[in-house]
Amino acid sequence: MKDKLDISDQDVYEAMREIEGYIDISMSDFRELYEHTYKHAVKRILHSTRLDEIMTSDVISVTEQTGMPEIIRAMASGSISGLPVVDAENHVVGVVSEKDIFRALGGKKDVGFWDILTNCMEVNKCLLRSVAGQTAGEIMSSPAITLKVGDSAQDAVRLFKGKAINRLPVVDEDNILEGIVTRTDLLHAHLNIDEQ
Amino acid sequence: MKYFEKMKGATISPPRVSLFEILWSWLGAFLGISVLSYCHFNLLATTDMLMVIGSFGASAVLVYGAIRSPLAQPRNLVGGHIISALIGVTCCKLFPDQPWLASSLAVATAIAAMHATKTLHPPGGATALIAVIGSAKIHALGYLYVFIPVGIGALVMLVIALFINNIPAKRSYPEFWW
Repeated sequence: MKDKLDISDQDVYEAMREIEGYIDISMSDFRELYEHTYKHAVKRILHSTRLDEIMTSDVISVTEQTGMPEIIRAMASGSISGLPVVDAENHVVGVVSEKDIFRALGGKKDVGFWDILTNCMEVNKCLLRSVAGQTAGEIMSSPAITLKVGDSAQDAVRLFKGKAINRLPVVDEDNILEGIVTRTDLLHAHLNIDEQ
Repeated sequence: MKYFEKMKGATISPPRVSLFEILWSWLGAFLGISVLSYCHFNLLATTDMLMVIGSFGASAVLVYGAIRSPLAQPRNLVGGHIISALIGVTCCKLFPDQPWLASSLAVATAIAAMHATKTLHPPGGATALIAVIGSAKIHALGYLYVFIPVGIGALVMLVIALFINNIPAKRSYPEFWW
């Protein structure tokens, strides 16, 4: 935010020249006011943006019984890093993400891609084989943290920050999967604000 | 040291306004003060009344020369003068033998009251001070000072500001009323 708001005194000076009349405000007052105003505007727009306006509706999901190879294939084909797990009625019961797969592979928390590679090099055997028989139901994070269709983008920002997650399944009143919203969706919404 | 560093200032001064703006400010101030001083020197000269006080010169800077300023808006112009006059006269009456105390109390309280009522108008400080250090004629007015010259004078300047500042297409006054 800071870099983007980096307007110079010269910018303000030129703007003041373009506006007719004496403007009773100092450059630094103007900059401070602008920064605060900008933050409020972003907050207001995020608050008034409903999730169904920015979410991806065409969601790839898996069931609790889906096996690891299929989960990985689904993630690779869609270049996605997480999938909602649903039951037979399309209710969201969990989320399986890269993090969950890494955790299943490494057997501990906070295992990353490079840890897995290092392990593969040292042990000289692909770890993936050890978890190939596991299902989404076994490795998913559950219960899923979800948002409702009518919630605002601001709610998503709060959850992304507070829970340190990257995607949120969006559900209707009956907890049925309607879409998914990611940090990237929010970024796009934010960039749209800027373009406007 | 940061304390002294701050005294160097942080930025450049704003640009000069256009010649048009300068001329229109002159015209507004000339008309506004003309009306008040004509009444003062030609119509009220033989009476105990007066219509011009020094603080109106300062108000003219704002309502004809810096018309977009929050300090120059009707609420501030009229409210600031009247509240300050009320406080000035009160302080003068409370401490008639201690003009130093009455003066400082009047100005400081006027600023605080204008802030609290969102009517900050710098000339109001002068209006409060004049109530204490003004001529015998002003002292004789008592609380009438709040209405004449202060209240009426501020209203006359407001009417002329509304009339003159809205003639050019590029100028408009006020920014807000309340």
